[in-house]
Amino acid sequence: MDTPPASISPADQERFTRLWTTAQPAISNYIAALVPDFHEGEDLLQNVAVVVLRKFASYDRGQPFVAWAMGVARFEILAKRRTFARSAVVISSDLVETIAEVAQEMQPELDARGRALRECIATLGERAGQVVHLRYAEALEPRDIAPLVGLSAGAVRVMLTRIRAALHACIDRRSLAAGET
Amino acid sequence: MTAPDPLIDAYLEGDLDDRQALALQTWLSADREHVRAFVRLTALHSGLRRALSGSAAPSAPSSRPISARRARTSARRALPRWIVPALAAGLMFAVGGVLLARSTPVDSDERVVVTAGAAVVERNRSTVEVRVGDALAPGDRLRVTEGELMLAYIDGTVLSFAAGTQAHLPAAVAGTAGKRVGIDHGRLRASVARQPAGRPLVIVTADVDLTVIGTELSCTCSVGSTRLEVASGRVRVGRHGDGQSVEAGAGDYVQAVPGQALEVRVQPAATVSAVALRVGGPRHNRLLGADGRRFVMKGVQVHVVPWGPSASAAQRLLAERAFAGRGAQFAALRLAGINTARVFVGGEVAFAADNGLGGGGGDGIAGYVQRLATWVADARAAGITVLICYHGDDAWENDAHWPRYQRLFATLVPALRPFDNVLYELVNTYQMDDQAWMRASLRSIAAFRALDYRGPLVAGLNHYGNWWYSPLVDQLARQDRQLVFSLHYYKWMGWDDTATRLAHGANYPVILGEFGRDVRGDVGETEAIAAAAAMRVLVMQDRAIGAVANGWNVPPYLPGLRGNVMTDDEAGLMPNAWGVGYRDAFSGTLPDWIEVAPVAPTPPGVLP
Repeated sequence: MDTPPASISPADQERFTRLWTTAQPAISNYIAALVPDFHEGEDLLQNVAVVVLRKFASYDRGQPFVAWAMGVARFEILAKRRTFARSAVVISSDLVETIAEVAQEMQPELDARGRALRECIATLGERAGQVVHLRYAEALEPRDIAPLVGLSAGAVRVMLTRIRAALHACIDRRSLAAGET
Repeated sequence: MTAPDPLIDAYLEGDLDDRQALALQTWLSADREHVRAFVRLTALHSGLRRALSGSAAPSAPSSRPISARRARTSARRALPRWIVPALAAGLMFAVGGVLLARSTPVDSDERVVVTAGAAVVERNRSTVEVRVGDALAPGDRLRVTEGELMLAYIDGTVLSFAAGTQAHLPAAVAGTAGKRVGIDHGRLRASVARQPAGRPLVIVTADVDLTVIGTELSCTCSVGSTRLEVASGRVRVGRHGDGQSVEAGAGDYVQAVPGQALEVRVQPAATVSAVALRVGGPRHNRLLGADGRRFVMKGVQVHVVPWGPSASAAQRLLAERAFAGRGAQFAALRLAGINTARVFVGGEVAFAADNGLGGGGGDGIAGYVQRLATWVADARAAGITVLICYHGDDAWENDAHWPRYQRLFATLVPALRPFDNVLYELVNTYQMDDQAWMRASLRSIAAFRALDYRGPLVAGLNHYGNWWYSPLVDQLARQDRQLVFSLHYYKWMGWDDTATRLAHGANYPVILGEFGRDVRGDVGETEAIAAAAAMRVLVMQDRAIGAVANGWNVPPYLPGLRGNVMTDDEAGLMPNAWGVGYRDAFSGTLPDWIEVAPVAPTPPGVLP
């Protein structure tokens, strides 16, 4: 990872850290929408953080930091999309813009859904929990998960689809109950 | 949830093929609520990663070590081949086919899927909601609950139902063939690809059958009344009760009311579309859409001209391919960010009596124009503006050839008047005497205005504007306030110099009307990219309208010249910038990139 520019003051570093901590979930969700591959998305998030820090001196404090940082992220996505294995290449430039706006608008809702998700994960059965762990904690592809759980790759995909649908429904129910839809 | 979950799941798992990717993009573009649903699911995906990353396994699934993890990260997949002329409608059928089981066998040409919107469908005594990607079956009864429902057939025919419309897909009837759709009440707009002989599309209302061979129309139905408006082509209206029948053409309407004779009438002028684009803006150098927004031209040359017997077999094959697959080609163009197709018209085929297009009247113009009109209609349905450029002889300056040029456009302009997506280009030539260029330009402008065409005219510059600028340009600009000046790239520094003078010095509307690698070898790919990049700078400065790359489906008789297209999806240099991605239209490969730094706008009237 690159070092921050020497000109940034300790006060600015602290300010940056505070602002970045606030903005990071929205940027992370935005990147996740366009770059579903975990490793690529995580690399990109790191790059965005570096670029945001480098450009922090030019940040106009009259502007919302999240919007400014999202602009940087959008730039990075557009600039890097050719190198992605998948994902953003299927989304047009117009949609990249729209998704940026929507991700910002939805951040309170997505925060609430993230909290509900942690509770919903705990409700998964043993086998579903195994598959989810291999897919998301170990970042294995379905074809790599298949021999580990004694299923075909297709069956793993179907299982993941059903697990996500179940989690989605669980989150909806909990959000509804909490009045956070 | 209304999201097409299988598509999003495939997206999350990196399993989308090109067709599914197109379907997903179409769905996302249709409604902001779709984007919200999509973001919820992708946030769930990344949320799972965040929540579980670093967590302990719930139980050891296997004693086998997980050593291959992340191996796939480095094994990059190939980019989807967006630029391959995709079967846009066909992909929807592939998707829809797996989502809904069919109760009735359907001919593949008659299969229809939802491409935008949603509806409630009564099927087999149950009610289901159909969404983007779902297929419909004969016997289905639709109720469009909100928004607009769009259905597409595999041949590119598109039906759009307004909110509140009730419609049905009639079950197959013995002895009939072709597509059938019934309207109980509500409003339908249809852009119908040319149907096979003996298999017309039939729209059935309570009162009449509308038999469509290939056209663009709208139909409004209520109890006891059907109103048909035809934008292009011809539609036969046959009444159920008394068997009376009439035929309506472009610009006509028919109001079928019980007890009154069927009568074809001319639509009031206000209901016929005018040209949407106009030259305007604060410096009068922009093209503006009907909504007043700036139109940035991202164009590509499309080759569809040589249909008739005078063309070589290879030319005909290419044109037929372009024509037959136009729905898919237009969809692919839109996906590449293209909004304009420049097409040459004219040549011997336009005039040959034996051009096989059923022209009649001593030459082939009528049939030629009719066929071109269906192409323009399909372009319009896809959101593509068509820039029509005459090509084929020296009619611009040759007095002897001028009359036949006039004859063609005297047929073409009225035929295309209902369409709001047509621009005309004047004087596509290279070496002329300056005064001859002026004379040709003036008489061309006069000819179009005499035909009551009031939209922008694209004036090609003498020498393609390469190192050429004359006070005659200023004179011409004063003649008509709706002129757009077009330069072609041959020596990019040459046109760049002229473009700069036009755009910065005089504030004229400018396009780069043609650019690409030159088969003659004096310019190459790098220069072409540089030319496009230079034009992009002008576009960013709001000093130019855009450019047209040459070309999409390049004729095989131009060996060495592959198809090129500018796209947005490599526009990584600046967000919101007009892209100059410049890649082979068929292989999807990209050449090296030339970066262009943003340039500060120059004050009006100041040469940089």
